[in-house]
Amino acid sequence: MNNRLRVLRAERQWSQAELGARLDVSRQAVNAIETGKHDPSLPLAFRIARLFDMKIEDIFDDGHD
Amino acid sequence: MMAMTENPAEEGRLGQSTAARITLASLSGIAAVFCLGIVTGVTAGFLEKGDLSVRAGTIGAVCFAIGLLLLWVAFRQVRAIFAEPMGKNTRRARLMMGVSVLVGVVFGVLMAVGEKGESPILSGADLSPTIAIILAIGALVIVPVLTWVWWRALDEHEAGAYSDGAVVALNFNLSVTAAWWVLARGGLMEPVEAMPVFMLTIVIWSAIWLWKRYF
Repeated sequence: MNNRLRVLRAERQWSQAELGARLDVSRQAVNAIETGKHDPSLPLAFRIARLFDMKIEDIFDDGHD
Repeated sequence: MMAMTENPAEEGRLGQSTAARITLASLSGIAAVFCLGIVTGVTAGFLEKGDLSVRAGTIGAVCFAIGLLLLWVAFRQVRAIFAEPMGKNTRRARLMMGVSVLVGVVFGVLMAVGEKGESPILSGADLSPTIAIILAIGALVIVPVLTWVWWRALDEHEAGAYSDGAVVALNFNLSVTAAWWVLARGGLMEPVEAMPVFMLTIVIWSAIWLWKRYF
C-alpha cells in the first residue's frame, strides 16, 4: 500500500524516531510503514490520520479508485 | 522537547542503524567476556602458583584493558539505543528486552555453577538438583511473565515480525521432530534429542524475527 507518511513527516521536520514517539510505535515500525513493508492496522492508521489532522484515505492509497 | 534531525526526508532506512548498534553491542559484549575470561585465567594461575611471568602478566593486562574498552563500547551502544525519542510502550518493550537478556545471563551463570563434569549448557550433562529446580521455576514462571509484559508493550510491527518467526520456527520444529522420530523408529537414526531441535528452532525464530524487524 502506498502512503504519504514520509512526505508528511518531512514537512513537519520530524525524524522517524520522533514520529514513532508521537504514535507510540518504534522507529522501525515507522520506517516499515514508510517503505511499504508494513501496512498499519486500522487503529494505527486512525492514530496517524489524527496526528496529521487528515483522513486515512488522504494518507494511504491502496491503488483502487 | 524532542530533538530535530537536520534533514528528516533524507533519513533513509534508519531501522538498520539500531540493528547495527545491537550487533555491535552484542559482539563487543561477547568479546569483552572472552577478554575478561583470559584475565580470570591469568589471575587464577597466579593465585595457584604464586608466580606470574612477564608474558602472562602483559597478556592479562592487555586483555583487561581491551575488555574494559569493549564493555565501554557496548555500554555506549545500548545508551544510544535508549537515547532516541520513543513512546512509553516502546521504551517499556526495550527495557523488557534488556531485562530478558540479563535474566538469560543469570540462567547461563547458574547453569555453569551447577554443572557436574563438562559444560552442561548444550551437552545435557547432569546439573545439581537445586540449580535445576531454580532454572525450571525460571523457565516456567519468570520467562512467561517477562514475555507477557514485553508482548503487551510491543508495537504491531514487531509483534508481526515475532509472530512470523514463530510460525516458521514451529513448522520447522514439527517437521524435523516428526521426520527424526520416524527415522529413529526405522532404525536409521538415534532417538530424537530435544536440545538440538530446540536450539535450531530458537535460531530460526530469532533470525526471522530480527530480519523482519530491522531489514
